[in-house]
Order: sequence, then C-alpha cells, then structure tokens
Amino acid sequence: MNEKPALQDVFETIQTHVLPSLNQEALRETFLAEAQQLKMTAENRRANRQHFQWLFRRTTLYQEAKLKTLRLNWAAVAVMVLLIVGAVVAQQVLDLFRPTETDQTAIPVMFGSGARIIQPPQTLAEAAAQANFPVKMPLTVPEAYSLTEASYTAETRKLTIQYQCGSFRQLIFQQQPLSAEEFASLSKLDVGASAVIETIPIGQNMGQYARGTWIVKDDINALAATAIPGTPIPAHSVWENNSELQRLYWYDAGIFYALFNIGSQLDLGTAGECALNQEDFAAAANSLSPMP
Amino acid sequence: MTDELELLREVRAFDLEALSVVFDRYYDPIYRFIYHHVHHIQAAEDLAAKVFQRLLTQIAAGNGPEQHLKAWLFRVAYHLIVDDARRQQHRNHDELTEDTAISASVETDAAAALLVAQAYTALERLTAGQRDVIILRYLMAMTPGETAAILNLSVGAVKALQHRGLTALRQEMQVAKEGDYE
Repeated sequence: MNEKPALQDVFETIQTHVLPSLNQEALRETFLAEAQQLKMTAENRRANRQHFQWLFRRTTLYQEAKLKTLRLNWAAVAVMVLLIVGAVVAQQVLDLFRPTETDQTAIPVMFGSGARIIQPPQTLAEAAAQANFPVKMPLTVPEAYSLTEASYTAETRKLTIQYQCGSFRQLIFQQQPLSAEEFASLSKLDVGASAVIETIPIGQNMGQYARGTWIVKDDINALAATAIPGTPIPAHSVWENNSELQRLYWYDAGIFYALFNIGSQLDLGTAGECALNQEDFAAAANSLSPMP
Repeated sequence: MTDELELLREVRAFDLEALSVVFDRYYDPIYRFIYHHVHHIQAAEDLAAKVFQRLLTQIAAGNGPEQHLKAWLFRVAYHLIVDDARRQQHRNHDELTEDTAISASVETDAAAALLVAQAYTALERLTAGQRDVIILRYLMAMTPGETAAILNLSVGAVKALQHRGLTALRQEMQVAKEGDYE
C-alpha cells in the first residue's frame, strides 16, 4: 500500500476490513421465529375478522343501521352465544347450563333476525338513567380491559356495559330485572358433555360459570344459504373447552346478572394480555357496586 | 425489479422462505452500512436486527415497503443510525479510534487497519450529509438514485454532497490524487 493511497484504495480497504457480524445466524433464527409468530397472529386476526364479518352480515341491523365496526362484535355474540339455546325451562334454582350427552351434537343455530339486541351505544350514565332499577357496575375489571360503551334496551330492560381489550375482545356485563317467574322461564344453554360447570360464590349468592364454546363443523355458508331468518336450524358442532369464551351468571335481589367475554370461537390460547380466567370473572362479579 | 416485487409480495404474505431470502440477501449489507457509522459490531448487529424486526412489525400492521424493499430497508437503517447517534452523543473520537485499534490487533495487515481507523476518523469529520452520501456511494456501492431515495434527497443534492465530501475527505486524509474518483 502506498504511503499516500488514492481514495479508491481507502474505500476498498475499508470494505475489506469491516469486522464480520458474529451473530448473524442467531439473528436470522430470531427473525424467522418472530416472523412465524407474527404470521400466526395475523392469521388468527384475519380469521377472527372474517368470522365476525360473516356473522354480522347476517344480522338485520346491519341493513338497518350500518353500525360502526366496533358493534360488529355485538352481532357476533348475539349469534354465537345467545342464539345457541335449548328449549327446556329452567328450574327456580340457578341451573342455566345443560350438558349434552356428548361433545358432538347438532345444536340449533339461528341466523338473521335473532340478532336484534343491538342498541346504539351510550355512556354508562345515559344508560343507567334510562334503567328503572339500581344499576351496578364492577369495580374490579382486568387491567387490559377498559370501559368503552354502555346501552340500555327498554324492551328487555337489559343494561349492558362493554369493556374492550385490543380490537377483538370484549368483556360484557349485563343486568336485567327479572321476577321469580321470569327467572324460572329462562332457557337453558347447551354445553358439551365435557364442559366444566362451576359454582362460584358471589356475595351471598352462588353463580354458575362455564368455559368453552361450540365450534360449528358444518359448512356455515351453506347453512346460512338455506336458513330462514329467525328460525333455528341444526348445525353439527363440537364442544371446545379450551376456548377463550367464558360465561358467568347469577341472580341477586330480583336482578339477573350475566358476565361473558367475546372473542372468536377460533380463539384458542391466543388472547395474550386479553386472556381471562375464572378468577377474573369471580373478582369482577364480587366487586359489584351501586352506580354513584 | 420484477424479482424483487415478487419477493416483496411473498414477504408481505409472511412467506417464511421469502423472508429467509430477504434476510440472507440484505442482512450483511445492512449490517455493513450500519457498521460504517457506528464502528462497533454489537451495536451494528443490534441495529441491523431492529431493521428486520421493523420490517416484520410494519408488514403485520399493513404498512412497510410496497415497491422498493432494498431502499426501504436502508432507509430504516439510516433512521435508526441517526436515532442511535442522538442517543450516543457521548461517543467521541477517542473511543472510535480505540474501537478500531482493537480490530487492528486481530488483523494481519496492521497498516491497512490503521488506514481504516484514519478513514473512519476522517469520515467523522465530514458533515453528516457528506458522510452519509460517501458511505452509501463508495462503501455500499449505491447508485446516486438509490442514495437519493434512502436519504430523501434529490439526485442533484446527492451529487453535490458527494463532490464536497470527496474533496473534504481528500484533505482530511491527504491522499494522492492518482487514480482517484472524479
């Protein structure tokens, strides 16, 4: 090398003397592992979105109001959770879940007009002002969830409070005054034979908690194509205990309370910080306090 | 370009094979580009890893490169370098010389290592714009167009910075003019 090298020599020397990266292989593995993880997350998110959108398109309110995206999930829960019901009248005691004989059965699924419980969102104060009963709200809610909206439905006298975590997961708290006769006439909810139905103490009362959901195995699009809106049709389904979907019901002083979460029936162990467990439900239920 | 567009399409679909290709194709240039600025293996690796991490998160969010993957990666690297430099204001020329001197001890050609140390020191004395252009043009073999895209400059501005940067670098290093650029 000359004492006074040309710039070209300098640049070439620099290029050949860059110290090699020592961890390229490890970084490559980390990169691909992270890509794999993000790919799975993206696929789950896409599946959830498509599922909710599919369900939402079948609600009549979609045509009526073109509700904003957030409320899409309300339609989903209306179809997924509330409309998969049996017809046996409940006993006076809180015994709302009815295990089927096996984890595979034909459950009645309803499309269309069944999803008419959606109300325009209100603030909690607005909703509570419309309710003619003492409204309560949980003081303990999982940290990842925040209050987003509330609504009151005059026809059913049901007040709903919605908490949100991320884009797809909600925790819903409902309260509805019911007489003893009305409470006794509540329809039971079919759960799989392997479902674990647990009794949870809530104040002086006992609540019923179950985790899991039915995964419809039939071609849901084909079912929808032949369904008459508002009329249940049987759909071959398999019970999944590992679903993120959970429900807790209890009855206290003439008020029927329901606490349940909304995600997707395909959501198996992917909720991350939005994941809930029985303790979260029990803590929320036991923290009910009158609205100021 | 078609090859890169096809690759980009697969990358945006989180195709792992395509992502492997991208990493294998661009990691080393990105690492080198960063190294020319930070002169430190660990720091260069960390920032290079961040570039690829950002690629994933941007794609997952529906953003990220749509046409020019290479330019996008270098642009991200450049911004990370600038951010890092702001955080590392305390780094001075003594440390730089020391870092590079350590590398000299493991090199068989000590004279060349010394030249590298001098060149990096000289580059540090250029303006930021001149240094960025010189590194991209002559150490990373980028075209004026590619350099302009990465630095968000016009090609004319790149050429002007290149001219002034080379002149300043010659003065700093007192290099011979024979066989030189321009």
